[in-house]
Amino acid sequence: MLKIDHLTKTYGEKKAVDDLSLHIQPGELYGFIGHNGAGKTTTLKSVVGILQFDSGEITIDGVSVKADPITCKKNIAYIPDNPDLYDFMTGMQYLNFVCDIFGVAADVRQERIQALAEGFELTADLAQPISSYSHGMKQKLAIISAWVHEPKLVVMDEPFVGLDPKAAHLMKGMMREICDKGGAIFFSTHVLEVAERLCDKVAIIKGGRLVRSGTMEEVKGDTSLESVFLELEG
Amino acid sequence: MLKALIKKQYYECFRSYFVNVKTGKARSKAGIAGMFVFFAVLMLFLCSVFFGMSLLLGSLFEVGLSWLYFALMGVVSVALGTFGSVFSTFSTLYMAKDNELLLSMPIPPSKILITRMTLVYGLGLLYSGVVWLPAIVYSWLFTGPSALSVVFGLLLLPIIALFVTVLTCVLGWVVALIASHVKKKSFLTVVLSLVFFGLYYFVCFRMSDFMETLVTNSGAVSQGMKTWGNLFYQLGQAADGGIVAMVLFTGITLALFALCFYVLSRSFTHIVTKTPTVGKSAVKATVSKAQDVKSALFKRELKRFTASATYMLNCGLQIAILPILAVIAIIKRDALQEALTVFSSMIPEITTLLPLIVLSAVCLILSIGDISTPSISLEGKHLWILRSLPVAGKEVLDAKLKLHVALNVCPAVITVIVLGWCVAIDWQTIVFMAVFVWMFVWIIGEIGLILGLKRPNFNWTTETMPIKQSMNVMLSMLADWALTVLVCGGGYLLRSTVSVGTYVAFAAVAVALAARMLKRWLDTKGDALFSAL
Repeated sequence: MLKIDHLTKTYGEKKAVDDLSLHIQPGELYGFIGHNGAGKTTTLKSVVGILQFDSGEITIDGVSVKADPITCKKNIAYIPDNPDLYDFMTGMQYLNFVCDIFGVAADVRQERIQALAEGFELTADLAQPISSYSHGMKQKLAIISAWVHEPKLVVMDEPFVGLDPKAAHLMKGMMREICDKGGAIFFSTHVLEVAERLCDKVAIIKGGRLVRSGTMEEVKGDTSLESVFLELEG
Repeated sequence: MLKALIKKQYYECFRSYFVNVKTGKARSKAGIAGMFVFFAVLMLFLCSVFFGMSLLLGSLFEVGLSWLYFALMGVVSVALGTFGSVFSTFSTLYMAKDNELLLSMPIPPSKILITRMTLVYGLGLLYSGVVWLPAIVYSWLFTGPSALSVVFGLLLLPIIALFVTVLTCVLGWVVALIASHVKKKSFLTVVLSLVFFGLYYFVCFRMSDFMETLVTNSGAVSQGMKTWGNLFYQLGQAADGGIVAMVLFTGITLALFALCFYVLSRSFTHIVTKTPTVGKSAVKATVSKAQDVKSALFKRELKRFTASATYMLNCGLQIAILPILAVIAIIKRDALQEALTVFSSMIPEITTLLPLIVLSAVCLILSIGDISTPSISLEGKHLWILRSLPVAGKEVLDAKLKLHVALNVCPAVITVIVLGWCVAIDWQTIVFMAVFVWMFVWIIGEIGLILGLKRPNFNWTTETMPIKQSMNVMLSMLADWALTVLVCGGGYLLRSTVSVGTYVAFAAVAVALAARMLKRWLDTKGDALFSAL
């Protein structure tokens, strides 16, 4: 599904990501952890085509993000750590805009938006301008806009920040559902307990380099993910 | 504590004088000095304008109505001070980004309010000062004032500013109250601003007539002032050296300020911590009809434009001005043709050059607002959305260009046709002119987009920066003017070689070809540039 080969990205003198390689198979829920400034967001942004990288290759379903970004983006949904959505639109206008871009038919979008908005208890707020939304509401809207076009791969940067417990629970179920249908999830998080319970595989990044990756059992062994992470960080 | 708060407030206000807001880097000493010199020159210019007004009213001294002179200048001073700051007062008082931070600290809310009010006061002092200072300087230079008049004249400036503060705080509150009950706030702001600009220019054009009327009817005016504007009568008397009037005006102003501060301080915390109410059950969101990517992107651009009063006023003013010009031309058609007959008797060539004159006027007006120029920078923190969606950069650029053309082309073409008809240009040439102006709209939109792509600024704190204060906007306007001068000047120079009508037709074709080349650039290099932003 997602193949990252020898990804390198520098900002001036600093190597944000250094020769990073990862393969994510269909059906996998892949966690990406690391300290602040480790290179997680740079990697995620490179995957979704927001950031141009220096060297390496990223392919989605065999299609290069560099060579054919539009085809790749048709199969991806991205949720950033701080979802700055269009303040000048209402929630529904934003969802309609995303549906138009992804070519979601009117009857299909009606059904999906209704189901997702009810799940996240956002139905009544969709007529309101996004500028009146709280951080959590924007996060929910970003999640609905990501799920509404049924992507194959969802890339998320700290998706649980700002979500209430009920929404976080719903979100975890939705993530698993996508993987069960043959899609994949690649997300970064600082909540190690969530990663440990939720992910099939995990990668730990430090100083832009991949220090450990594999199935949860391979990475943590008999200890906890937190112990492994702290040991690697130390 | 209060000193620290006021220092912070004023540093924030004048931050752009010390720090380059775009880069975040501190300015050099020469840069800071340059900014202050520029500010001083601007203030001196404004003072000189109002000194001219003092000259017009100066004859009131000769008829023994010196108090009326000061009272009238006081009215102007208060009016300018109030209009200068009323639109920003509410946001200055209540919408500061650090409200929650300051309220979480052990600072009494009244001190936060008084800090905010000092900024309103400072603005009032600035705007009132550019009227009042030239007014008293005029009296010192030409009328031989008493010592009391000189002292009171100077002392009155901070008191007038205090009076202005009271008025702006009250009016600012009313403006906010009206805005909170209107759904389309941006449109209300645009309409109010256009009315204000209209009134402003009307008053400016008729200023000398007003002054003459005031001077010739000074008796009636002074009686009216005593009866209906007694506070300004006291102000005039005080500036003329009246001790009782000085005490009265100062006392009333201080009392009004105290009352205003008392009322505002009681509601301050409630207002700044109030969360906007949204009617959940009132409106039900509905899924819209599916549309293609191009339409969706165009609609997005249109929403962005209509959601911002700043964007509409600064980049779309020509959309309102051009039809107004056309309507005036229709109403004044006979007068226009009479004037042309007079002019053509003096300069016979003017009739043949009319198409170029009309085109110059319309193109120069079109150049004052370029919708496409700030549109790239305005993506700001939302850029990630377009970058993560499956849309090509050229599709986004196309939508931005289409909005510029869609909004400008109708007013421009209609105005050209109407003006052409009003000044009796032949229909064939009018058609060529309409085609030319259509192509002109197209090419200036492309020029704006290219500048926006080449020099984007996504790190703005307020949208005024890319819309109003950006170098791109200035460059875009200059480029559009240069193109107007080049095309219309070319027509003038070639008038003996080729007829103006034929020249306009060729110019339209040339601009169309150039626009096609720029479009090609936008579709290829522009697309790549957008993808790399």
